[in-house]
Amino acid sequence: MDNHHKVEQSPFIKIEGLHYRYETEGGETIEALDGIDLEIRQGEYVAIIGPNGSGKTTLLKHINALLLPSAGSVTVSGLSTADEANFPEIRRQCGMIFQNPDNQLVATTVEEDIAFGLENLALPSPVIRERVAEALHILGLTGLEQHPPHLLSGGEKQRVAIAGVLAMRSRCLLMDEPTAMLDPAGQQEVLAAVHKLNRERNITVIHVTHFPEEAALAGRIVVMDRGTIVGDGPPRQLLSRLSLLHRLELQGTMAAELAALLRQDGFALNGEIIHMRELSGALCALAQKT
Amino acid sequence: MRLGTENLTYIYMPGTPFATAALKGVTIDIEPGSFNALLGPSGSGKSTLIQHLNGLLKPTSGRVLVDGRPLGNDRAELLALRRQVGLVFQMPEQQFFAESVFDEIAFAPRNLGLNEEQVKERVQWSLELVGLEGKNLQKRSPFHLSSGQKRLVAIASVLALQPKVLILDEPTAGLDPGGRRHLFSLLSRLNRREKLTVLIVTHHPEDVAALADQCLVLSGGRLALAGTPEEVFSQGEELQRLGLALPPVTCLMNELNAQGAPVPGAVFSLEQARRAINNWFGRGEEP
Repeated sequence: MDNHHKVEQSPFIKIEGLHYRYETEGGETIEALDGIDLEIRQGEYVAIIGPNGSGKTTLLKHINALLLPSAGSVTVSGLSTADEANFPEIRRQCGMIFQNPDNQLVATTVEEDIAFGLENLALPSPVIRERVAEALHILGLTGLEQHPPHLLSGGEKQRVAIAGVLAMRSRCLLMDEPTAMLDPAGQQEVLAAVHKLNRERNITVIHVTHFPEEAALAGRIVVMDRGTIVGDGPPRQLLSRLSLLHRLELQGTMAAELAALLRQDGFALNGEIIHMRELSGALCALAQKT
Repeated sequence: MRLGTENLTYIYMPGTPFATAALKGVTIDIEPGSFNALLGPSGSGKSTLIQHLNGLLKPTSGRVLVDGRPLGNDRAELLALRRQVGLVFQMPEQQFFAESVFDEIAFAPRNLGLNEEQVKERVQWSLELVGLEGKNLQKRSPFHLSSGQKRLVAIASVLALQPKVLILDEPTAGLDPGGRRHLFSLLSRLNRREKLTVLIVTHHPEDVAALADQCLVLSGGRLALAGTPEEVFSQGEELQRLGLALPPVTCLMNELNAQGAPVPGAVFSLEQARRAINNWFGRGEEP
């Protein structure tokens, strides 16, 4: 999933000099975001990694105006979050998917849940029906229309939440650890659905994750630490820079970590291994040579 | 304390059209002082099972065994069990309610009827166990801690009961890799040093495979597999059929095996994999 086509040149999201500060109970000022400059183009798949408390979620919440900058600016599709009149359109274009699927499902059936946002737009009912059916189809949920969301699996719940965003004709998915509470099957389901939306529908994806294996599938990785961006580049480059990751108490993928240990033991492995299949291939090639 | 179940069946909403058997004839044995992992896809009955182990749910049929004796219905007996078996729920920090870390952790000891001096000692002791004693957190609001600290305070509030068994439902969900490592070294220390019996519900076998004495796998409410990590994770095809992931390094070993490399399949940690690959290349044991 490395090739991401149709990426436009002008930025879809433009963040300049973004600061966000708040006061703690003790009267101490916390600089949660400390000067962020970031541009994201339509169609990009960006993973944001960083330790707990580094500002990942705070940054994500600025993109759909759930939080507003203390200084600096955030512009989405040419609309500034400084103007309250832009909020509805910014939030329609950028839908948020949270960690816990149970916290974001509101209706008694899957169909109604997906229709919730559309009804708030006061769209005519045939249009709502059509959009809901389309979103269900795209997310592979057809047949579950009448199911109560709370009886679905975790992966299905997250896909319902994504379908709700898609039905709004959003152009961007903001995801805050969307698989943290899912089992491996649910995780695969959600990742496959999101990558498909990115690939086939050019939906911009910004995906906060603690799993290096998930970040490895993105087109670009942004690394955060203490409210700043300390790394920005393709996964192959970022996830093999283990010294940076380890300094932040983060990890590379298991393949990158194991390859690094083996290099210490004198194995002649190249420095860009991030997937297990690459490591097994490299080791087998090495075994044939020796 | 030895915990177990015998032919445990639990039916949700019995006698209604929604009746569902969440557990079907499950028999398990948790040895005193052991480290156990409970695996299984969502909906396989993991949370239902652990709620039986501290008496929050009562079996529809079958029994919960405490030190070999069937657990009765007596209120005093259930209360005693809940003191001895501490249960840390998923995302436990979402249940915080107190204004300070101290009050949050003191809640259980106060309910035990301890005096304030003893409560203070318990809070201090619990914070020490989770490694937060030096951080001057006692007066802070638990809501304003970092995610890793919140999780540790939630665990400390259960440890304050001084349980013999600690059961944790997905304890690392939402933690960063540093927080995960820290939590697992904490649990391993509690298990070895404090002789606490540990049972972890997890979706990430790589976290527990190198630590666990016993792995239990539930599927559709039945106990599908049980044994040492070696015994369980050597059944890769069966695990995949059940919708479970193998630890990534185990997958690598299987892949290398399929390519004809003489490496063992029962490898779960990075260090084990490193050794196995060195051995394959005739580089012998690493120092």
